Amino acid sequence: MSTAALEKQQFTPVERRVTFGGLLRSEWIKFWSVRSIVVTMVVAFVAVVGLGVLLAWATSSAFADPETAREMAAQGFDPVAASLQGAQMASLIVAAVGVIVIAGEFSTGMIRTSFAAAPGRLGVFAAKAVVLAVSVAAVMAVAVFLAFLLGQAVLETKDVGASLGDDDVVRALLGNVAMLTGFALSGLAVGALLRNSAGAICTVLAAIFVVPLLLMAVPESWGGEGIREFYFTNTTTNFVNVTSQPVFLDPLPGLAVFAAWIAVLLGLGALALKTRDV
Amino acid sequence: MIEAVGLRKVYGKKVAVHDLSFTVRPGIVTGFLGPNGSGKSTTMRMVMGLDRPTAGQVLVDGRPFAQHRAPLSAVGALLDAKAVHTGRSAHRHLQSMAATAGIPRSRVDEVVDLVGLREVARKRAGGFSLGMGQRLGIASALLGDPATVMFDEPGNGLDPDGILWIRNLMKELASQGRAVFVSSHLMSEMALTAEHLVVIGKGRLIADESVQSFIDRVQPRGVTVRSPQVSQLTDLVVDGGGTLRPVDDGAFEVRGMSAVAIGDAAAARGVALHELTTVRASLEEAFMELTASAVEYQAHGTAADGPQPAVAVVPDRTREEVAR
Repeated sequence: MSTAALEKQQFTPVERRVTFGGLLRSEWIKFWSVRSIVVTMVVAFVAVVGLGVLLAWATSSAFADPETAREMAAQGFDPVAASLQGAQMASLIVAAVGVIVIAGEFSTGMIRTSFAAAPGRLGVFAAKAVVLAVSVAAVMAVAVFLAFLLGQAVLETKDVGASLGDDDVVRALLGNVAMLTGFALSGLAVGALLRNSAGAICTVLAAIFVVPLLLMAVPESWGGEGIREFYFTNTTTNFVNVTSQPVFLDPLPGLAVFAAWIAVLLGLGALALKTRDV
Repeated sequence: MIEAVGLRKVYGKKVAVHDLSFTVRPGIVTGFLGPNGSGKSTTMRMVMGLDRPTAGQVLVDGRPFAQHRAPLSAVGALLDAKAVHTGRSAHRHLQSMAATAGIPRSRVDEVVDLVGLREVARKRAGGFSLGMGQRLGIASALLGDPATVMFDEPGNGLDPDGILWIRNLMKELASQGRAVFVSSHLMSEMALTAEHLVVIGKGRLIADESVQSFIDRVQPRGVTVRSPQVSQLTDLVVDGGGTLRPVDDGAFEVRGMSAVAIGDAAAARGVALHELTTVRASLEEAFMELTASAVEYQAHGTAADGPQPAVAVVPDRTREEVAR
């Protein structure tokens, strides 16, 4: 039998090679063809613009009272921050998008199809990261600038609005886009490490909202100041705002340390994907 | 072509696959048989580089699958029907796969038509029945027009028409010179499809041979004999060193004598025979027999310290009982 089988004509396939461009196209199709991801992106957009305008409006109504207005001016009222409150909330939402992009493949088994098509694995992860970063950055850039423009239009009715030309405004707006993109990537990394959507989202939630509060309690004798300064989310504080808080890193060093955190997390995620069975 | 050499996979303390070596050749359908939990799926995941072998290696056309630059043209695999994102349509799912290697969109439509999913291709895969999911998995496997196809329990959830369809599909793929590796826990299904068998039980290789030689390994069960001269037949068998017991409607099952010996003796004594048939265990029984011993071995540790497998012994009736 075996000799007969060996004599049979062997099938020669057309070699269709995997390319990084192909992986990017593939991940782009995957990203925008799942309802949960599209819906979450829309929610993030609405959060940035909606909350921004709403809080700008709430703030502006406070200026109706002259005494409150004087008080707020004395405290150094920041109209840019007032219109970008939604971006803080959206941080968690875009991080959830990052988590879903990878953990959703593990929960459905899709990851096996992905890795069967590109068994090098790292190409898939890199393509996911690029598509996620580009998609989040593009959508959030529109959202952040829209929130700013609408928010300032509301604040301007009370003559306290800022304009795009003001010092550091564009830098702060781009800083928000960078922060949101970074959080989305951190979600992707944690999703690759934990493989479970709920667990990964809770982890990111804790990292963004809970840990900074806990760090406030670290005494100076334990290096509390340094830890707070270099902690993941705290590094974003000054580059997303026009006004700087001296206890945190300056915008550029802050951005660099933030990028380093993301790079390390993505590296750990890539290592887990490469080495663990799926 | 798939070559596994000394493949071993250990999860914690459990040995899922134990020093497995086999070859899946092009041009034929190779059946991969074993009871549920015998390590078939684990082995297939190792072929695809999804699970890393603890020891040994498995090569696809001479290289580990992960080193293939055109993986979709090398192996198309249906690992389980759930390797699809439930929120995505079948069409988008296939498109995303095709995009990785620049496979033209026309090929996506082609495989969708081939598996008969055209009408539901734009619907979310999460709403698919098990059979539709299976068809989508087969479409995914065929997308890259690969040299080797690997199907894990492809008949799951398919109706009889679907099973016939996939049986013919596998034979056709093999006749095109592809290596076809298909797992099943149903011997009867494999007997109809495969030319070659790799049989495992509890992660160990039990057989790697042609279906025919697998059947030949099975000892004849006995000989069914019918004769109007019951007492002469009984004497004949007892004298020949055999035993007999009545089975349904007047036939007897003879053991310990071949059909040739019975026929010759009957002719010599002038006993009329109305039937003389050698009975072989069915393939299903052979499979159960072979895999059961592997299961037994694992379940009791070593044969020396464990209880011996219980063997159901049906005592053959004595000559007296039969005569009555």
